[in-house]
Amino acid sequence: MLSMAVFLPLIGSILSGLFPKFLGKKGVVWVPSILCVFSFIISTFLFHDAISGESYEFHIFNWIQSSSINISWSLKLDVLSGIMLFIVSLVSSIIHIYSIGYMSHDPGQARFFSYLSLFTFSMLILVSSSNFVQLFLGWEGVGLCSYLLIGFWYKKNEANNAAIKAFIVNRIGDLGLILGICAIYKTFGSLVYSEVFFRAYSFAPVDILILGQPIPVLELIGFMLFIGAMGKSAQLGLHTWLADAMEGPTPVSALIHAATMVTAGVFLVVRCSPIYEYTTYALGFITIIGALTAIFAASIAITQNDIKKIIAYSTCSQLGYMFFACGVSAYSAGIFHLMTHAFFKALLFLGAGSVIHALSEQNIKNMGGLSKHLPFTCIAMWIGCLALAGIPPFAGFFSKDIILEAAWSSHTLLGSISFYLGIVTAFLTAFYSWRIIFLVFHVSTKNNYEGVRESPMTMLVPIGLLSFGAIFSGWLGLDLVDTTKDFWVDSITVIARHGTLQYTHHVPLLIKLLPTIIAVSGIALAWIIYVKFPKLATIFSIKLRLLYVISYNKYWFDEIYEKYICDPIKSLGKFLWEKGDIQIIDKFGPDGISNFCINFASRLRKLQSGYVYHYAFSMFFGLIIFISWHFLVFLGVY
Amino acid sequence: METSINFSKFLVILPEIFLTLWILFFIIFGVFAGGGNLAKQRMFTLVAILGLVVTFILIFTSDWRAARLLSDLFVQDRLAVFMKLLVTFTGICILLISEKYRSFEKLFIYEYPLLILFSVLGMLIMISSNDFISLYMGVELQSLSLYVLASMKKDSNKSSEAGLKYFILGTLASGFFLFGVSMLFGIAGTTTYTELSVILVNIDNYSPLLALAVVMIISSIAFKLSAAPFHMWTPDVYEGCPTTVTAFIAVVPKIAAVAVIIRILYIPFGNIYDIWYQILAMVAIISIFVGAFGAIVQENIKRLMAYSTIGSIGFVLLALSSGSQQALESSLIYIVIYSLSVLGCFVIIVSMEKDNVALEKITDLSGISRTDPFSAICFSILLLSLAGLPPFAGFVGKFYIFRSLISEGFVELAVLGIIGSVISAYYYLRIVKIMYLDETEEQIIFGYNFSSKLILGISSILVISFLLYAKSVVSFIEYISYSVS
Repeated sequence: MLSMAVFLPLIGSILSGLFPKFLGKKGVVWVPSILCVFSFIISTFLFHDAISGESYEFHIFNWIQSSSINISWSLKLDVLSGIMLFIVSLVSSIIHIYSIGYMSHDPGQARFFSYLSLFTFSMLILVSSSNFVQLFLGWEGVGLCSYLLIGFWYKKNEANNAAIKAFIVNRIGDLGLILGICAIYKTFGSLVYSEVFFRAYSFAPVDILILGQPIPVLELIGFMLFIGAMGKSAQLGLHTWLADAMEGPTPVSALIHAATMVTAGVFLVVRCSPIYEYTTYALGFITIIGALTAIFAASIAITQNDIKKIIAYSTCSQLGYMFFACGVSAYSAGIFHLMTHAFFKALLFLGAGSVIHALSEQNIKNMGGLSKHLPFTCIAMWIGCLALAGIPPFAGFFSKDIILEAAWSSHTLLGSISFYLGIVTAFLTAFYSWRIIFLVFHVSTKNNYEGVRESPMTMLVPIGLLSFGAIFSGWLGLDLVDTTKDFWVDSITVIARHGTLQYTHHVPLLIKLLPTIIAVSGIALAWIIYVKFPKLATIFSIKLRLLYVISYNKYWFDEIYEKYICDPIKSLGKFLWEKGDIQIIDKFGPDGISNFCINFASRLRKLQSGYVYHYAFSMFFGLIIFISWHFLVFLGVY
Repeated sequence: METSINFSKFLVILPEIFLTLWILFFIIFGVFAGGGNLAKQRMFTLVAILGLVVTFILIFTSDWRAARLLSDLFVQDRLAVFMKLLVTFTGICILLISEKYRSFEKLFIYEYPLLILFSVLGMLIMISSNDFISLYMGVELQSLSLYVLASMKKDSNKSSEAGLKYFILGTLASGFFLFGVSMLFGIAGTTTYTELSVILVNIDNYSPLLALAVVMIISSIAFKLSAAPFHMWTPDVYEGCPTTVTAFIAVVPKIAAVAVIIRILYIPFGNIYDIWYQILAMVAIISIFVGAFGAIVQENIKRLMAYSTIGSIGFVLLALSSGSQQALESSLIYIVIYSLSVLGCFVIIVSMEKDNVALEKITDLSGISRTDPFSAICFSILLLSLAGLPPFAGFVGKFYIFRSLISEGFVELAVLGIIGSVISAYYYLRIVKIMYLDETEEQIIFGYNFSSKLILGISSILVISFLLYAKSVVSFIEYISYSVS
């Protein structure tokens, strides 16, 4: 069962990738989609099994066996992997179906669906692995597929650059992950989850020497793994690839941002909760990075004009929420938000995709009044934004609320800071969400939208399904964070003094209501600025010039990286290439040797004069040399 | 010394006797039949092949056990039988593939197959000789036939020039040989291998005269092997000869000469290893590098094959210079693979033609992968094998040589050999590149007949699948080589 759920998308990928002729034009899109749906159905059963208390590891075959390293291909089912399997396969299936409509005019359909299924497969491997090496394989598979999909329209230069950027930034994170895995192996002598996690607590007081400094080993591991997670989940510093990744087709953006890829980082941290629970600084670092990312990305999102980029920064910001939830040991709240976010973010992306599909336009400044032409999409986007902003009873409300409460009730300095940052972020989130809604759907413009029509059914049905998710998943998923029920069995470890979630019941009413009030006020502000007094937007952008420019230019992160990291590396590379490679290695290496050979050969050729006495001379010469050699030996000279 | 003649023992020499009689019959037959046309030519070739086939069968059915006869002038052992079989077999192949070439080059003379028979007879005697005098007889018989064969194309200046050069330099080499042997006789009082092996033992203060004799003898054999620096005749002769004769010179005498040098080094000089191994290693390394560098600038495929031969012989000598049993085996394996690959290559080179004119420029091969993929793929396989690329046969040959060298502690020699091998890979790959990547201007035709196509196909298949049966070949060669030393 488990292996079927994981490997069905791989089969779909292979079929449509390698045998497109065999499947035919319809087959290449439907076969992977249907296989993905099957995978989802199986995952649902598995999820059900998992929450009824079943957990097991399914051993497929041995992979690496070399003295003390013993790694096998095996799949692990517990509540955490069960819920991830469920979310990933559900969102993937919906996006597969949506893509059938969205990509119907693209000549590279077979390739697209093959990549899409491979992406799903990699993510499923990632979440269902039972050891760190297999996790790393899924991790890299996801990275590779994101590269392939972002650069899917490879004729577009921006797409290629974005794909390369995504890959390289991820590699930086991956380096941290590899070091983390190495540190785990060095410490525990094993890479299998069950062994590592079982013994994690006993290593809490152990130090490791780095450059002569004793460092608590679990802290080190925690930091390294989180650097990996930062790359994948686009946290502050390594977030630059995320917005550029919008160059890919919209379903890809939805897949990357909703259920796969970016959530891998959150999953990793949650999966490693038995390690993180015995760290202080690593958890603090996660909290502060998460909170900073949340507000940072939200502050960028309010001034962007590209509809997809706004949603992209919103993802970045929401991931920040998930991380600081983990940072305050509310792992289950993090996963809860991951789930609700998967629904409403996928919904927003698919809705945006529907708008883009209808208009072939991404700049929200050029849109307006589309609610009449795209009523269905408009409703869906409303639902998505309500969920994103955290208005009850939509999904985002429940999950965001519990995160903020957990942060508040952690009663640490970092927890409180992140609580206030989270509140401000909630305000900004509501503001930019309604900025989209108003500018795209309601404010009327002079534009003529006569030919604009709703998207085909294959696109609308997935949007409808996701809308249900965005409305109900928060309410349905409350069990996830209910500390009175043993929902997670033992897939998440929280030690007693970190039990922030349990204290959420004692939060004052004001704190409980604050996020909602803040969100509503954010919506109100957006209404005032963009609907009531449209001139205000320009006035604000002039009055608050400095803040506006900072936000609009995304804090110049790209430019700073370009100038202080990329350029020096490029010039170093150029130096090594021109001076080192061409002038030293090539000159004396391959080129030098081959020139020498040719020179030597043409000189040797001159010896071959054709005169028989030259030839006879050569024979005598050889004879004399050999005889003299012997005489020298005989005389003892040599 | 035996006084009474034991006839059953004489059965061992039967192949040589038969071939001699057959040649005598052939002379008379040829004179009576005369000959100027194709049909008669076919008949002559057939008669020659028949003689060689019967010789082959007689050798095969003869007693493989060690025996000496004719006052120890003649020796029979497994090495001799094996090398003789190889010589007669390749001789038959060369006769088979030369048919078409001779028809359009108008080489309608019955002396051609006759001289090849003479040459083969000389080689059989070389291989089986147990005495420097009988060896000299064999060598001269073989060489004189080759001199004439080289200048067979009477209307070509190049052919006559090649014959003359070969003759003059060959005589010089014979002079070296006789001078060396006479000195050896002066020291030891005998020229018989087996007696010499007892008399010549390793001594710390050896006589300089002995060294002189050894150097002279090795030099003259190195000339026959076309090893540097006694190689200078090779490119000119290869180029000037009619191509079928080139094919013959490139394959058959080399096998015989390798058999001779193995026997000389391991039996009469077996106990004075210290005298010859440095000389041999020097000759080998020089040959490898001359072969590698010389071929780079060649435009004529026959000259290129000449340098290829020089390099390959370098590898055989390099193997022998370590003087071990393993070295003996590896050099035998190498020469077998070499003759197989070169035979295949020459099938193609002999068949290169356009409008009944033989072609021999490397650039004539350009683009044949499109016009004649069969030839292109076969030639590529054979060349890659000669270059020593895995998984082809040549790789196995070189591998065994380097392994034997390293196990005897001659790591430096192995490294030099590998460097030479890498350089030589260039010109083999260049031909492959020309065949596959260059544009074709003129259509070249390969004038195969059935037998040459068969030989080409079989040699290519044997070369490509060598790894599959390498083990049995190696164990067979081991069985052969235990008869020496």
